[in-house]
Amino acid sequence: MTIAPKAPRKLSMKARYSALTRDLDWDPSYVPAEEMFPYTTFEGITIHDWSKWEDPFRLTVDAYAKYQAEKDKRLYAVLDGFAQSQGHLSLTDASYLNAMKLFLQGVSPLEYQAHRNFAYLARHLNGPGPRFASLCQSLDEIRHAQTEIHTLSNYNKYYSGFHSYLHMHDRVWYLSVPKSFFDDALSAGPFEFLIAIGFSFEYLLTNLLFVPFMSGASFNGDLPTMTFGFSAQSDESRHMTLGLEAIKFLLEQDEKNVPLVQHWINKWFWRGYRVTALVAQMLDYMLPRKVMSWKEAFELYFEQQMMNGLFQDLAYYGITPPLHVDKAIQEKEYLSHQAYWILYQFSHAAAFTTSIPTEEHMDWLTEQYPDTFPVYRTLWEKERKNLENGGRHFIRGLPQLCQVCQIPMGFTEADEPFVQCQRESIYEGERYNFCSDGCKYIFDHEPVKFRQAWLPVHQIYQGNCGAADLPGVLQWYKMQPGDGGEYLGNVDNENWKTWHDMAETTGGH
Amino acid sequence: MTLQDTITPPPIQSIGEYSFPSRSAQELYGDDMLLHVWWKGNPWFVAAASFRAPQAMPFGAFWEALFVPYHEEDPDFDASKGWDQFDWFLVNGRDSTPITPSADATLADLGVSHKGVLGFSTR
Repeated sequence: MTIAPKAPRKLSMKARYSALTRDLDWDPSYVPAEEMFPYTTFEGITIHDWSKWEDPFRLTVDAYAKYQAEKDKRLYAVLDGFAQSQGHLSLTDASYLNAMKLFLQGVSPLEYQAHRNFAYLARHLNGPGPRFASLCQSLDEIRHAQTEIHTLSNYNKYYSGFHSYLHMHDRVWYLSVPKSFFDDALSAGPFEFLIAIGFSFEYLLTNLLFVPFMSGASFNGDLPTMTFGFSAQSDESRHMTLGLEAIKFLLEQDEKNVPLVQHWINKWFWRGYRVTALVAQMLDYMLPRKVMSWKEAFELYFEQQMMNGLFQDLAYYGITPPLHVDKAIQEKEYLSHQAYWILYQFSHAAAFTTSIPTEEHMDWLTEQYPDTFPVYRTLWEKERKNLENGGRHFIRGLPQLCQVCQIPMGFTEADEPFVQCQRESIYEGERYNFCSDGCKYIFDHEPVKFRQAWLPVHQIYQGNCGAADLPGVLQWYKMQPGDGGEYLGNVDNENWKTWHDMAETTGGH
Repeated sequence: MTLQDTITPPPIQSIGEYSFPSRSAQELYGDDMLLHVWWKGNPWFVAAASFRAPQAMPFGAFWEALFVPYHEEDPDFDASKGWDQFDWFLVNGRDSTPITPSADATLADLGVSHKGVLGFSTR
């Protein structure tokens, strides 16, 4: 008679998680804790008990690898199918890809930077719970960078503006907006980074930053990007939870943390909000088939979910909505019009194209923005006449930039639609210019940090960008003919028409 | 020209000494400066223009060499009417100080300093 060996006792999920994560932690005996974790005191945050950090997901490394491998397999199957069936021809229009160019040049490199900083947190936070959560997020972020690059690489075979995106991210004027935003977070301490990226970027603004790109993809026939969006979604909900857990943990540990956290919320709401100007114009102007207006997105994802939801909960801790949020709410009526007007007149120096909105498009904008768009429509009417006379509105020079957000200073006073905000501070005898009270507030608290800003216009004038003339600077940017400028008549537009004519005459593609 | 500080920042929280110079300081431009030229109330130009110019550049030369080539991209701008078609002022946030340009007055004489905003509006 044989006796079957007893099956090994299976641990419960909770016990297993504990054994594979927190149980692997130890107290240092050769060195003091401050020497092992040297970066968690200088910001002034007080933590009494790291074990109070809750881990709602209870993920382990083996489970993580298994889930992610399955998701990647599905994504890569879609990418292969799309490439083999010439799926790019079923997009709404080649101009849709301007949104994806912006995403690849501006956002994907930030995923990589997020990976780096979460890896740093995974080493340097004192508690094993937040260290492990940071490790998972660090892995997510590098996967997102890689899968985004793979997803969009197919378009690089057929369309301009997708090459050299990393090179451009480090050099080009409009990409200095997202780059400097993230550099600001990377050079902060670990707790500020958690509020900046974990909370403000991944929780407060995430639905305004990522959802519009992914919905835009699904509305415009971009199956690969949409699939990437789905594949990232479960990670994103984990990131949101980490962000929320981080802020609650800091607030519950010590009352002295509250004013520090409040200042970081003020700063990082405005920093992140300024970056969303790129999203606003993408939603209202770049997508051939519209998902929703910026105003609708802002009302739903920010005013309803954050102002009426999150900040009601945070009031319990003594946290108030971010400073200058009232200005962002006013700007929802015109942010996208101003942001696209900037990109339109500088797109000869960009790796995406722009075009005057069609009458139908302008009618849609009038419906969405009955109080403000009619004013901006007069600008487009002037441009239409200009085009009829053989012109095209491209600026013949360089714009004034904001020292903090680095966006050309095209945002206006709330009460005067055509008067740009001019703000300035003088520090150690030097003047600095700002686009808003929000950006001035940020500078005034950390002038020594922000006076180091690498402002593209100031650097061009110092001779640090390859040449003193535009063609030379564009070469230094690695831009090629066809990358930027006017969309109509551009190589992408011409190819698109040719390929579709071919498909029609051969009865399909 | 020395400008009076307008802010007093809180102490810096950092892991070591933290003191780095400005990447846009006037010294980096030799005898030149950066100036911002802002057509207030004209939305055709989405933002003020930025120029690098000698501090000793006479306003007349500035008008010819920098101002007109940039602004004549606006179909409604008529350079032949000269600079008297505009009111000119120095900008400080929402405040401004009127100035009266003349061909021989240098930019510095007019009170324009590094990264200052030279504003003008249609009369």
